[in-house]
Amino acid sequence: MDELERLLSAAGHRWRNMQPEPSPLLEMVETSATPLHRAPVRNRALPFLAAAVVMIAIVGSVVAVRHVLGGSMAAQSSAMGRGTATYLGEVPWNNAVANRPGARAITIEVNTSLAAVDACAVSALRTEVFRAHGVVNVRVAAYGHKLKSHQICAEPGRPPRSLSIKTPFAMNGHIIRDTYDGSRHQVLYASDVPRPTKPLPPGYDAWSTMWSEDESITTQQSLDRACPGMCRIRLYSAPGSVAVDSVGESLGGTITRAPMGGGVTATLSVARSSAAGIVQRIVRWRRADGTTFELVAQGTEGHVPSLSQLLAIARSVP
Amino acid sequence: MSGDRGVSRPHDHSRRVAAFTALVQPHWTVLNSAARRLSGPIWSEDVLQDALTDAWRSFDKYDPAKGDARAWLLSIVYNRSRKHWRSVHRRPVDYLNATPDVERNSDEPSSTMHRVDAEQDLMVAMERLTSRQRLIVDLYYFIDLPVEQIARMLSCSQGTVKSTLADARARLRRDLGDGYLNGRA
Repeated sequence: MDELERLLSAAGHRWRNMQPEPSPLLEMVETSATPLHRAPVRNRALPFLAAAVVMIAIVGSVVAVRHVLGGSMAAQSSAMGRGTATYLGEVPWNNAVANRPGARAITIEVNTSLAAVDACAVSALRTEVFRAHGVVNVRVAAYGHKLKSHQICAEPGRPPRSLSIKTPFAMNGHIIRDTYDGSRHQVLYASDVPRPTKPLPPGYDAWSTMWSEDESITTQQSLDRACPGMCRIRLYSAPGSVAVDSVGESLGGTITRAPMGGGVTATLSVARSSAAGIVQRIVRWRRADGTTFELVAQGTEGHVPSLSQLLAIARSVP
Repeated sequence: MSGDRGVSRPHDHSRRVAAFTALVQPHWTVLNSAARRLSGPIWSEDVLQDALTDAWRSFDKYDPAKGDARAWLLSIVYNRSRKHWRSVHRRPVDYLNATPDVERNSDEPSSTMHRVDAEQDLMVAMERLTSRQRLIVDLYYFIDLPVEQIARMLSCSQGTVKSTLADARARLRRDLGDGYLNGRA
């Protein structure tokens, strides 16, 4: 064995020794959930569906079965809304809450505005729960009618929808994974859900509170109010940076800065979407305590407040 | 593997689960290592999960006569990791980041520090191998698979594996330099 071989063997040996113990192999369980890329079956009387059922019976195979790894397994499909919908895509979710101790069910909030789908096109949501590698995964798929090229969502963004899903075991305190982006969320008791604690600026109602669980529970408040016409103003606050809805492909914009008082400087930006007439104006600032605020106004041109109006609102945030 | 022979394919779900678990369990550690090596520590769990789902789906088609379970399962992990890095448009493994840092200690013997330096240089040199060469070096030296299993896993002859290994070593030797290697001895 020459020196290179010794080096390779030693490197390989060291690498193997530094690998963590693999998590135990869990039992393989199957479910009867319909694959998410298939639209929900609505009318079983349709001839082509009947033919498909006959064919399936003939070949004796079940194709709509998902097999996943898990110690105990729960899977379900649930739907909101109705319609001969087509699959639009996966949707992120957050705010997993166990409503009572020991319950094998949780509530999650699905925000279609954050997904790469047209929020107003979504007519149904389907959930699938599976356990793999010791982690419970939750997948939410959106169905609906794809918008025609000349159509845009008239209302920018939608409030999150609550979905109740069954889980393989009592989930409070456990981590569950969103298959949309692999993010992990901690399931909280309803009583532990963080509430907006900061005073609201004039005219705002609490819309939702999101929390992230990467290291500790941190909250992001979303407050909103309608402006005249097709417009909505939202205020986000979070300990770190915050993510806001996008109006789509930006067609350019401007970025300026303005003093907020107390040595804080705000960044003001405007973006226009390729969707007809949609404009987004953002005022973003960071306080000395590290909290980031973003005031986002989004809607059709002519209804969205000007940057100076937004700046005045931002300065009124307690 | 002797235990792979006669794996039943029961229609009954619980028997199928038991048979699948019995098939996978002996190879679980090496499958984890393979997933970590081929797709990196961050993605390995996802790759492994997808690979096991693939294996479960095609379990009924698995024929022990065509190859042992380890090679079959490893080839599924390999295919999954390939699909994965293709889908995310990135290299399969960032070797420099995949190799844990070693804290330097002034009391450490100089030979240990030389070894760590040499391994870092080796990882850099491995980046310049072809993907096939790198894969086989990974499987042979890092996942510690014998040539025979690598050949089964990649559906090629043992001679091909050996010649690819030889080519890879020659390339590494050329890149690192004989003088360098001897100096590290």
